[in-house]
Amino acid sequence: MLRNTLKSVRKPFTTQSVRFNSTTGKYDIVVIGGGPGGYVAAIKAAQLGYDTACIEKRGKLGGTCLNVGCIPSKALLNNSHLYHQITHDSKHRGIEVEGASINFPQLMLSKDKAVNGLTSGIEMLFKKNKVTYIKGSGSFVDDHKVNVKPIDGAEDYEISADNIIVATGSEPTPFPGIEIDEERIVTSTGILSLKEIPKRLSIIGGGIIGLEMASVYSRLGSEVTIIEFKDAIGAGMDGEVAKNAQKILAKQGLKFLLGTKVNSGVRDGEVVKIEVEDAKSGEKKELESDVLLVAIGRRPYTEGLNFEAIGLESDKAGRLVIDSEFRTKHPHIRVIGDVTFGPMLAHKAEEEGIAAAEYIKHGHGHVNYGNIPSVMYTHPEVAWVGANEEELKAQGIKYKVGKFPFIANSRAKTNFDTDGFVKFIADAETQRVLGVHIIGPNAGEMIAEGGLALEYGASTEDIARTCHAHPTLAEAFKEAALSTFDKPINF
Amino acid sequence: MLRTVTRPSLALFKRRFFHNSAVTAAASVFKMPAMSPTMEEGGIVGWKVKAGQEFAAGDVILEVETDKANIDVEAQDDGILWEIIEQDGAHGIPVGKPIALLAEPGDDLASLEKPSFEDSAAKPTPATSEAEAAPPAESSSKSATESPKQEETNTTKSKGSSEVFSSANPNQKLLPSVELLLHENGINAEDALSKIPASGPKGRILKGDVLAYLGKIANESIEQVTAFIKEREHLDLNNIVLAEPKKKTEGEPSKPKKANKSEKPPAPKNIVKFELTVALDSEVSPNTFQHAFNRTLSATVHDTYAAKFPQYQNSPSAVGTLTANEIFDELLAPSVSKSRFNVSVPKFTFHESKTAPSSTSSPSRTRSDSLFDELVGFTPSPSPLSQMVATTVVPSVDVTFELTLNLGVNDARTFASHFELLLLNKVPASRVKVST
Repeated sequence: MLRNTLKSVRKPFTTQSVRFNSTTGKYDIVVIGGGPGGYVAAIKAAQLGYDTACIEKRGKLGGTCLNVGCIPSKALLNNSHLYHQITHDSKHRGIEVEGASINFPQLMLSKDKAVNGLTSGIEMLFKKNKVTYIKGSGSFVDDHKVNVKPIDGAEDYEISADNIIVATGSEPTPFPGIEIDEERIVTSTGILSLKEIPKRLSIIGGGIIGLEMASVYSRLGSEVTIIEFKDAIGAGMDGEVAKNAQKILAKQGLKFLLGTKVNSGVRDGEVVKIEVEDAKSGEKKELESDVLLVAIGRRPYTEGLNFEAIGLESDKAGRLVIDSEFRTKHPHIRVIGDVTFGPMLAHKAEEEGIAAAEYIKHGHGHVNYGNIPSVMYTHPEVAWVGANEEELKAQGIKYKVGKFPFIANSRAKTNFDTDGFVKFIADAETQRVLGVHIIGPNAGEMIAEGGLALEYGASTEDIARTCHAHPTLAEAFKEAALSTFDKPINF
Repeated sequence: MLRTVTRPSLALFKRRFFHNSAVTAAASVFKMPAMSPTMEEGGIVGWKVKAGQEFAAGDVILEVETDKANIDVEAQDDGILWEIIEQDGAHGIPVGKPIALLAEPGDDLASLEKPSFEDSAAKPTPATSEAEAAPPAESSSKSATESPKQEETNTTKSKGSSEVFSSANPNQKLLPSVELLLHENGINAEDALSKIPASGPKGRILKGDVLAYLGKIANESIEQVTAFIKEREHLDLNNIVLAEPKKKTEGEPSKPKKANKSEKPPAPKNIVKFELTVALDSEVSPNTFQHAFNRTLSATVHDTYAAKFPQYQNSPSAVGTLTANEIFDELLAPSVSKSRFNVSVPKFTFHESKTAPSSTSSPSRTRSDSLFDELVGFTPSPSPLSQMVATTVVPSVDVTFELTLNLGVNDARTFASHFELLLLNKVPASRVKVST
């Protein structure tokens, strides 16, 4: 481990100084930002034959997702789940483990190892595809020139490009009046590198990030309270699924304060004092916590980009304004990912990265925004794609719902892992699948089939008539489709 | 009489021919069919029926070339190909341009009236080229003749059926639901592909399309749901509310100014205000002082980073000298490239020889503070470091600037206090006030 880390840290810096000196700075395409949107766009552009450079100032590729987002959180989720299973869920299965305990620093190291492996993997991909990797921060000089400030402190220099793709991503939205110190009051970044397991963890925001981190620390023994202003958790989830998820998570020991406003959160020595207020009754309460996580969303990140200077516009939420082909006022400057419109998801940014490169090459590209899955990696997982009931009601679309519970699925029963269900929403007349919502084991993997169904315009019958292996959790998917237009067999 | 594989144009042609020929005994004009909703022009690969020859419903009359594929055009009804206007190999014929004249079976070709089509010849779309057919009876059949056009405009209004349906992709593998439904209703796959308009992606026939074709559900159901799905496929880029032009406040990181209600006023303690009073030697000009002070400021920023990241102080490759422990520290600490704080451009107020005024604070700062205080009921307390030094009566200068902490970086505060220490060591101030 030690050796590995040493190597991966050392290597970038030595290669980088060579690269900087040899850079002369004229490219076909320059991508600003090396996150999931930017690095994918850069590789695709290089594959399409363009001389491409990618500017990244973090010092590591992969952006928020790889470094302080999806990947490290999944490492913690997976390992804490394993621990929780060993301690709580193994005895009745005939597995007796004595004295299982958490080595928190090692848990964190294991997470870092996963992250480092993946980030250096992207560097390899850059080399393989001949993408020039520039470690520095990019700032617009004019609409074709970008100033690069190398992160190693070397002198600034300018590069120019025929096309520029901006993929600078997003950052956690701060909470008005709560000062982040990333030690006791943390964002999604700080929560991933706590020095110790907090006895009490409070979380502002019952969205995906909040609930995932709640799960991690609750499994590790923290007493977790989730404070959400709305009356439901899981922003964007189907209402029924959200309620179900809340019930299951509450059973696991998470405390929910819904419809609750946070008035203040102040660090006081080694604790954080939080004043909350019931949104309806106005009743105030003081909470004390060892760590407070602020997870109320993310906002576009454009610091130092100097986009105003070349006349690019942003909207009130700070998103850079684009047209349907990601073009800005300067058609050769395109913007993709979190820093512009649409859901802030890594896989959405990736799709856009590919499409942006293809627009430059061929003049057309494709992203289907109606078919972007969301996954929450709690246990059970929650995953969905397409429309939910609330959206369809609002649009006046008549629909039918079909559900199949995992309690009736043979594999889930065999695994003693039966929480949740698969839910289909299909058009009432044409039976075309409009949305799939899953809460249950492995929902995040299973949702891919829902995406495929949506992409091809399948009806629920098409899924029900497709052979699914037995015994698998995916059979619940098939049966749910079946029960949307007909009757399920096993329930 | 003629059937093309696209449903909309099928309806169009069938009806017009039927009514025209029924009422008038005149020949009808066969126009370049639209094989897809987006087709604007096409070519004739070859006529499969010779002029003067009769054909039966289902016969392939000609092969049309579009930008996508070559497609056979079948006759919907029996008839006679009277005269070919556009010959084999013709290219770039706009949709709706007459390409042949057709007659009903049994028509006496010698006595048949030739329709006047020249004036409408160049009109690009079938819908706008209704002016052919026989003039005498035109009025009586007018409504019938026009009906396809009206239908089309109506559906366009209600969601655009031409956008919803396209001709079925002939190469598709039928969905299991579709296959079964066709089988149950005795429709073979070939017929289905040519007759059933497809609402699925890329010309895919969906179960709903077959149900509508069989009359079991209404076309509108498909139109409604398809329009809903298509709308969701794109980002809603209408109604973008632009941010107001940015007003650059001192010390603020360059970020778009946001006026959203979810936006917060500036965080309370991420701005540290420095107020210094420095006694001036009479020989030092204001310009010289400003210059020197600015240099000191940037040198101090540099020194602060250098103290925390010694390995970057001189050369980028210095990382090689790090110990394993330091590497771990670095892994856990935010990267060196993260800016911990920003220092605003200082303001200088020069005094000849009077007592330094105690307040040189910027009004904007005060306002945002109190606004914030109201919101959260928070009273900022002065930093423990703040101190007042006796004001002077010699020539002096008041310097104020602000330091904005980047709270997204967890060691920003450490950096800032280090900066403060270094700066106060360098500047021989007679009065110092540091407040958050």
